[in-house]
Amino acid sequence: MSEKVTFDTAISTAFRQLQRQTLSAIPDLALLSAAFSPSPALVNKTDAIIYTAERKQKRTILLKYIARTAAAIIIVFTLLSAHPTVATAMKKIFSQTVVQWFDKYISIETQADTYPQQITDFTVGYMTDDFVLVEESQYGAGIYKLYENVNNDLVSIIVKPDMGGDLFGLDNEHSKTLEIVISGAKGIKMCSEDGYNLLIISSHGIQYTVEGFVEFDEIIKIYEKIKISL
Amino acid sequence: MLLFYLSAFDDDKEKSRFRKFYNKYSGLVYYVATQLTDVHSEAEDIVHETFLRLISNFDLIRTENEKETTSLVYTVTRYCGIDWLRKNKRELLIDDLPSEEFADETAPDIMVDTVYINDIMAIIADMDPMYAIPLQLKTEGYTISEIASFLGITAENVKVRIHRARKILKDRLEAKL
Repeated sequence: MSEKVTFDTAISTAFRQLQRQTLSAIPDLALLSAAFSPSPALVNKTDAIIYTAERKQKRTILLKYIARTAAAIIIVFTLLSAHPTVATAMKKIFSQTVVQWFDKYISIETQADTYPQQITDFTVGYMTDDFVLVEESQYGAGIYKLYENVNNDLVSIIVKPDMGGDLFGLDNEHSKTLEIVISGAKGIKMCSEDGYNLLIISSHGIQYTVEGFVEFDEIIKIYEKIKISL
Repeated sequence: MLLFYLSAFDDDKEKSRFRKFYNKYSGLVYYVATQLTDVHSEAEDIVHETFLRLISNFDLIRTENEKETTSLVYTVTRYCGIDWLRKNKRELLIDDLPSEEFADETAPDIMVDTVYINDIMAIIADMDPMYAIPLQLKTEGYTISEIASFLGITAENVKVRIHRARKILKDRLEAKL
């Protein structure tokens, strides 16, 4: 019984039937392989093809594993970042650990929403023994003061409006840099191997930079006793 | 972690996929090659060319289906063999023919009675394999780019050959009817 089919269907059917006829006339695959004895030259060429294919396969597998691992890490970090506590902890790990492992020199950018236009003066309520004021000057919209002791060690203090966007390049190879919070104000603590210590801290739109060859505890005491005159 | 990766590469099953494939189908490839040429060295060259194509497109071969793989290996071997012999005996290559007549690859919108299937089979059997094989692979579900990859020609060339094969079939069938 005949029926009408599309031209494409007729072609497919014809090819299928032809191929079935052809393949049914072919001896068993195992018999054909057993009967085939390639020359040494062909064996060598085949080995080369297979070796190349295996190498390509290895590279593909390696790339696949790397891509999967990277995707897994990104997913895990993304999920963890959604939790505020974990996100804060991760930020801390990155800023305090990862940065210090890989960077010998780091940049820190300050940010502030509101700030005074001008600092006219400030008083230093506490200063380490023997240090005396040797220099005082205007520093942009802020004030700069320099203290020195008999050993010619220096302590400098800069107090200025924190307009945001200041970039501090810190030597992270010979010193240890950490984020620090003093009475709710965020800042950076840097302690060098040679005894030089630095505190950069921003509070209520004012940026304090206290640095010198004194213990970091002393730096904090100096900072805490600074009084501003706007 | 690295050890885990390395152990994955050293998996014997993974490594021997190509070797198993070769061991299973090399006899068939040689058998098809000997149908095309009586010269043993030429048949071996065809075997080499064919495996080069098959193994470099290994991901496209559905090796889990033996029937389908056998059919593909047979078809690709036939094509590679004819192609190799033509190139080496400096006969006219189909690639040299102009392709400007190519319009599209859509099938002519005609209906065919199933009683004419045998006529179509006869036309296909008589057709130049360089045209028939791309069309055959298309009817077996391979994409244009897959066919191009297996046969070592451009996708555009595959389209041209499929179009011509259809046209030959249509013209010869109409002449018969």
